[in-house]
Parts: sequence; C-alpha cells; structure tokens
Amino acid sequence: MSKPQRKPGATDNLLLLLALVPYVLDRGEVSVAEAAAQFDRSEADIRKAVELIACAGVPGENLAYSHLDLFDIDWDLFESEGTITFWNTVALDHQPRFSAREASALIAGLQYLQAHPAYAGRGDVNEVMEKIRKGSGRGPADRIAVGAPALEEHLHALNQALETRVSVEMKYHNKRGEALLRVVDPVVLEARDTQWYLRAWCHERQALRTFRVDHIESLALTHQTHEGRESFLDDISPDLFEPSEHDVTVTLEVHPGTLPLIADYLPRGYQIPAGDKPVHVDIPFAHYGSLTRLVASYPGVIRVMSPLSARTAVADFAKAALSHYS
Amino acid sequence: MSSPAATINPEDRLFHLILALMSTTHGLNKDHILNTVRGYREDSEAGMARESIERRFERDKDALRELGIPLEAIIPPEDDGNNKNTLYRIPKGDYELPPDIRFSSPEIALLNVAAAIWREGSLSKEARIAQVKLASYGLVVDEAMVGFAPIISTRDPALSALREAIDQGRVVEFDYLKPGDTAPTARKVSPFALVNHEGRWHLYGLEHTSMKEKTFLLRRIVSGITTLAEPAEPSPEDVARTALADLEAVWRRNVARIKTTPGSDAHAVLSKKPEAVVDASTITVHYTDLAIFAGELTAFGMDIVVLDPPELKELMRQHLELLVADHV
Repeated sequence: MSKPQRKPGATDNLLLLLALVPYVLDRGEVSVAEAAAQFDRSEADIRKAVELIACAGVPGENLAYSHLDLFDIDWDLFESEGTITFWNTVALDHQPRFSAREASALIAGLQYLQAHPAYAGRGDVNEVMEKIRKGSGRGPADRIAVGAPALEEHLHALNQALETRVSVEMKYHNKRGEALLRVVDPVVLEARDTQWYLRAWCHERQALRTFRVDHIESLALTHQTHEGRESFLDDISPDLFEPSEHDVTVTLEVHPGTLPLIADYLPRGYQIPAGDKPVHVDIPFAHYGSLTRLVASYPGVIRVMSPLSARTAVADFAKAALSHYS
Repeated sequence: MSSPAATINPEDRLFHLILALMSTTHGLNKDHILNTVRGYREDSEAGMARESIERRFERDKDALRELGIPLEAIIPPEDDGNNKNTLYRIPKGDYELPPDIRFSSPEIALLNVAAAIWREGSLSKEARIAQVKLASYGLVVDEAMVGFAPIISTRDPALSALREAIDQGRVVEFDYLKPGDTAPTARKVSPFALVNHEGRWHLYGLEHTSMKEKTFLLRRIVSGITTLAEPAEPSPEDVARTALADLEAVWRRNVARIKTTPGSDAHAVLSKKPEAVVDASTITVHYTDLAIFAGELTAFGMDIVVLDPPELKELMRQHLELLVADHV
C-alpha cells in the first residue's frame, strides 16, 4: 500500500483494531514489525492498538467488565519480544465484510482493469467480482460501471519494455504539434480515465517526461537495457503538467461548472468558487499551441482575456480551421 | 476497569460499542448502552449532560455505518414514538465475511490494484477502507504495482451527492443544460446508476416528468444536487451494466468521416481511436456525443476537416465561428 498522505484519524484507528484481530488470529503469532508493514502504520501505532484490544471486552452479566468477557494476550511475549498472540478474543474473529459502497468501488475498479494488457488475459477477474458481490453488505453493490479504456496497440509493447527494462525508440507528437524522435526508458504507464500516459526518462532531455500514449505515432523496443528508473518515481509530482519559468501566464474566463474539466491545468490547491458567475483564472502555458487546444475544446465556455497575443493566437487558429468549411 | 472519561479516545469507545452490539442477540437499548459500555459509562458517571452523551451516540452510529458496519435498529411494535425502546445490535453474520468466501494472494493483489484506481477524489475513502480490510487477510502482496498506475477521476462535483442518493434510494433534483440550449431545465430523477464511459461520468435514472429512463452527462449538470425525502422508484436488475451497454451502442451507431493532414498529431491521435478505419488521409471513427466530439475535433484546428455527418460538420463551423467571435 502507498504511504498514508495524512495523519490517521479515529476512524482509521478503529478500522485498524477491527482488521488487526482477524489478522493476528489467522496467523497465530505476528511480530509488531510485520503488522506495521502489513497495515502501513508505525510500530508505535500497532503497539497502541494491541494494548487497547488487550484491555477491551463486553460488559458481562453484572453489567461490568469482568475478565471472562475481555480480550487477553500473551503480555510477556508482547513486552519482551514484540510478538502479538491472543489467548482470548471476544465477538470478533473474522474479517469484516465490504460495505455495498466499498464493494461497488472494487467491482467497478475490476471492470476497468480487465482492459489492461497485464490483466485482460486473467481468468480470475470475474471470479473475484463474484466473491465481492457475495461478500458485501446490504445495499446496492452494482450501481457503478466503468467502461474499459480502449486497448492501445502501443500498450503491449510498452508493458513489455517496462517488464524487461529496455529502452524504447519512438516518434512522438508533442504539444506544439511537432513530430520528434525520442529514445526513452519507460518508468510507469498511467491511465487517467481513458487516456494513457507514459512517464519515462528521456535520453535527449536527460529528464523525466510525460508522454500521451495516443500521441506516439510509432515505437520500437531497442536492445538497450537500463538498470530501472523506479528510483525516480519518488520524485514524480502527481501533477501531469509541471510549470516552468519560461511559461506565459494567460488569464482565462471560465464558468465555474467547467473548472473541474480543466483541473489538470489549474494551480495546485485551487479552490473552485461557489456560484454561477464566470471567474477569471491565471494559468501558465509553455506555448500557445497547448492554450489554443484547450480553449478550442470548450468553445464558448472558456475565453482568453489576456494577453492580447494569446487572444490573437486563438482567433488565428480558429480562422484558419474555419476556412475548411466556407 | 473504569478510567477517567478524558483518557478514553473515540476509537476505544467505538470499538467497545461494536463488541457490545455484536455480543447481544436481542439488542441493547440506549439506556443500557450509555450506562454500561466503556466510554459512555465513564461520561455518564462523571456527570456529563445526558444530552451531549446522546448526541455523541448518534454520531457514533453514523461513524459505524460509514465504515460499512451493519448496525441494526429494531423498533418494538408497541413503541410510542420514543426511541428509548429501540434496540440496537450488529448481527455477527452480517458483519463477517461469509465463511465460504476466501481470497488467494493473487486475488488480494488484484483487489488492491482495483481499489487504488480510486485513490483520488470522492471514492478514495471507500477504497482506503476496503484496502485495510484486504490487509487483514495477512497475505503477502508481492505483485508489483510499479509500472502501472491507473486513476479514474472523480472530480465531477455532483458525483458524491448522486452516489449518496443512489445508496439511500432517494429522488434528486438538478438543473441540466442540454447542448444547443441557452438555459438549463430543472429535472427530477430517480437515480439508478453512475456510469463512466469514454472517461466521462453519466447518471442513469428515471426522469419523473417524462417517466422515461435517461442518461445525463454529469458535466452538464449546472446546479447542485438536491436530494429529496421522496423514495426513488425501484431500479431494474443489473442497471449499471445495462446503462453502460446502452452508451456503447450509441458509440457504435455514430460514425464520422474525417480528413486529416498526413503526419499530423490529429492523424496520429484519431487513427488510434478504438476501431478507427484509416484509408490514406481519411479516418472513420465512432463517437458518443456530438457536442463533445466536436469540441475534441475543434482542438485539432486546421489539421482536420469533417466530411460526415452533416450535423457534425455544421457544429464544427459553429464552434469555430464562436471561437473567432470570442477572441477578436
């Protein structure tokens, strides 16, 4: 699992308690370190959770907590060796069900995965879906469906390049519309909805770059292997578009309802304002090629306010295209 | 075993509430819970106002439901409308995964990847809870996630509210702006399913005015979602998959012929569309929504010309004229 982004709250801690009990029961004995790794929490968090469970129970006959109705652990082993083992448990002994909401997220996720080359051939995806349906709580578990992203012909080759760690030679159309020949070491293949992106170490630029897979005209695996570029993953910003100092800042007028559609372009942490009045946002662009594409995708909805050169670029772009239809 | 109330943290109280409610067959009433369960009992004994303790109990019930814990409230038939007699319990069989369902390591790994797809946005909370539950199986997940990181964006502001309404089975109202219209119209809908097709979210449901099942594109919902108390009409079987299949059928039916500049970006992108047919510089592609597809094509500027169908050609012309008018 990925590193938690935030400080765990009471709900996270409660969930840890509920998950820790069947986990330890299934294994018999677990070290604090193993449990910490399994749940992606600190050893201190695990110790705190075990201490809480070890004193927990249900009020018995006399409406007070007595030792028979309490959890019990091997305290000596826990304190001397950091090993968790239960002597007595109360009420909880099995893994919790998935709620209908969790189940529908998992099922929709599995449907989407079926399109990826690494999973498409797997026979067990439908079986797992069926298990999740059966193992979910009350309520509709099938109210979300996700259409599979199209199987891009390049995905198979890129997947193979990732697995065998070979460099790839490709012809790529950049945002300016220029066709470039590039040799890259693939690091990660990402999909946002139906759009696939390749993050790769670019030999020419000597830097990590993001390439849209559908903008790759052709590609070929080379015989050149590399040592793996995974170490760069930690440095990758979650934004697909990284600002640079050479960017031109353009002021756009946008209807608030349209802002989520262009979220990839918005400044980090931008709060979408309430109301239905058009708002002005300043967005940096590396060149007017990507600006005209963005504005042209939402005609009448996004307008360029300034600078004048940006307005002219959009008008010229549209006039040139319009000549085809008159 | 009683400690000062201040030292009992919320997870401790909630954990004890779960244990107590799972250990009872017939259920416990509120008085019993507040006087005996750790966390409540201490507060009651310390003389905290009854009202605050009861409010906390209400919040705790919500917290358990958020985690998908099946908390049952049984109202006795002779009840006088006072919830004093309501009995609460968590049936063990509803809480636990059925014993015949077990997961293998590769299955857990697969489910973890499926959950990670939602790591951004409004479904990330459920996905995170599911991942902790998956971790409780104690299987070592060694399938490499490196090299593959799909995300489905859930940024549409209406998505959370619609999910909530679907789960609760309630009718919603919103303003919807159809392409070509200048003003939105108010819609009243029994929401059935949320469907992501070509990367866009759609609501499928029964529209009350027309009494017809319809698909609404979330990005065309221009108001907030108002959830009414009115219960939704029952949804048909397997509704999400049917709705998705409907959208795919529309996609298949709609065909456009486009001439592209050879070697251009437009040519590279359009020829990679699913099931695109390339004949020299002319590409035949499928599309779902006329207005959205026209927007996509407009971004290619002078590198494309739409040949067919005429309504797409006309819309392209209108889009480009609008762009010129807005920027000169």
